[in-house]
Amino acid sequence: MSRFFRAVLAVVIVAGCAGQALAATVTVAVASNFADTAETLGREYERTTQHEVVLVRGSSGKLFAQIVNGAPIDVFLSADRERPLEVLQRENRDPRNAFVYAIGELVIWSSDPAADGIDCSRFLQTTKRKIALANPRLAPYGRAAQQFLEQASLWERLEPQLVYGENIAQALQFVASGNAAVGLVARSQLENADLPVTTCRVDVPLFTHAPIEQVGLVTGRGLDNPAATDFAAFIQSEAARNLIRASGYRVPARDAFVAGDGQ
Amino acid sequence: MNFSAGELGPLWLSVQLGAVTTVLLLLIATPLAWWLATTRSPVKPVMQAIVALPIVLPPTVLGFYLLILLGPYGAVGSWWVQASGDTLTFSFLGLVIASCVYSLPFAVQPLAAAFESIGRQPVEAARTLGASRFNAFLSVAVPMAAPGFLGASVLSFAHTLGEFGVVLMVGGNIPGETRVISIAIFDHVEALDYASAHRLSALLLVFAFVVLLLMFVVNRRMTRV
Repeated sequence: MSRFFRAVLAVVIVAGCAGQALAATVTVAVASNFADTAETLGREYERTTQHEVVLVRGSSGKLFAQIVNGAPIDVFLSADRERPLEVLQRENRDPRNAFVYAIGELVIWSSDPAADGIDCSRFLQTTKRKIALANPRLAPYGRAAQQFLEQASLWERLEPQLVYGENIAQALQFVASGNAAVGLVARSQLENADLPVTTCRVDVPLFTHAPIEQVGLVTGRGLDNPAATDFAAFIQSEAARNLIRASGYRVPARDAFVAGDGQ
Repeated sequence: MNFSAGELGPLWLSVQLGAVTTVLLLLIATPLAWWLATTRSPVKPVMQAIVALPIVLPPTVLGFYLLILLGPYGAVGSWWVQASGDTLTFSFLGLVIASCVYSLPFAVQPLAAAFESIGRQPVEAARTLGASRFNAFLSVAVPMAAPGFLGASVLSFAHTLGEFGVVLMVGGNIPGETRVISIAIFDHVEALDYASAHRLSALLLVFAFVVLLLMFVVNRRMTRV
């Protein structure tokens, strides 16, 4: 065999191995509120590529702690802005590596029979029972809920009635189990078919709180995994954006899109 | 280390919860443990199994059932809502009930062990000497079971102090009402305030160590006598 053919053979073998290696696994740490949507996205991604998506669900705070302590996470889909930016800062990377993948919306929701036929914002102001929201200190949806209540000059009066879920999922669960009369929850959560009957529901006006921007990034570790960058690009693709919209979120405006699209 | 009033509030709440729970549990567990130690009833193993359940079940299971039971549609909660106008969940009283369930085996088992080692004879001897049943129990069995009472008190208190999962499920994280120390620490960790988490954790560690150390020192003196 000539030297030339040996070289060609080597290239073919290396390329073959590289092809094998292309079928990689992406480990995605996802904030609990987005986990169901991420699962749908992951399935769609697996269908269109050879890669496999493994989801790790948790609160953004816990996931952050795991990532900065070296957990094998390739992509981080946080519920907030601060934690992904903090990851980038600790990894000495440009903050522009982070991207907004979804924008949450806040809804006043109740399944209390007493709320039936009453305007939900009125019910929020008149109920004597507990009002559930996510902990403003921990969860972006909680912070937005507090900003809304303050904006509406209701915070001080309603504060004795407030109960705090560790995250937005627990806030919803307090209302769904009847332990709280009404809650400030995420619109995406109300897509869940297992919820009890809605007795009142109204969207919280967007101008009353800072936007709930959910930010994602490829971790420093994930940069070595081509599938991670690829999955992050997929999350921002038009197909993924449609899925995210259908799950009850808004998506950020993008240069590639006509102004107003997705808003 | 300097602690602000806001930081010490959750510890004080935990200590109150532990103290109230311990007192209530001693009242509940003493007759139950005596019955378990002396009965020849065939339902004894059933009762033993029920009492031991909170040791095996994850706090999430207890918390989930309590959330349903104490909630406005639950058996206990609906009655309470009618009586008081508010739910038992998200209240200090609700946490007391939850803690009594959660720490029950830690009160019953040391007491039952102590009563078993005494046996029925001393109490029966007192009764033949004319003491009433209650009096015989109080003046003979209780002093003899003193190490058991000490163990039950310390374990109930310590276990309630370390309670987390159940409170997380039924508490609602209300300052001064249900935000106990374990929840406050969890909050600090989640909010990335590791400095406060460290301070409260260290405080709890030292406190727990001192409580346990005291128990073992006192227990040693008692058994020497």
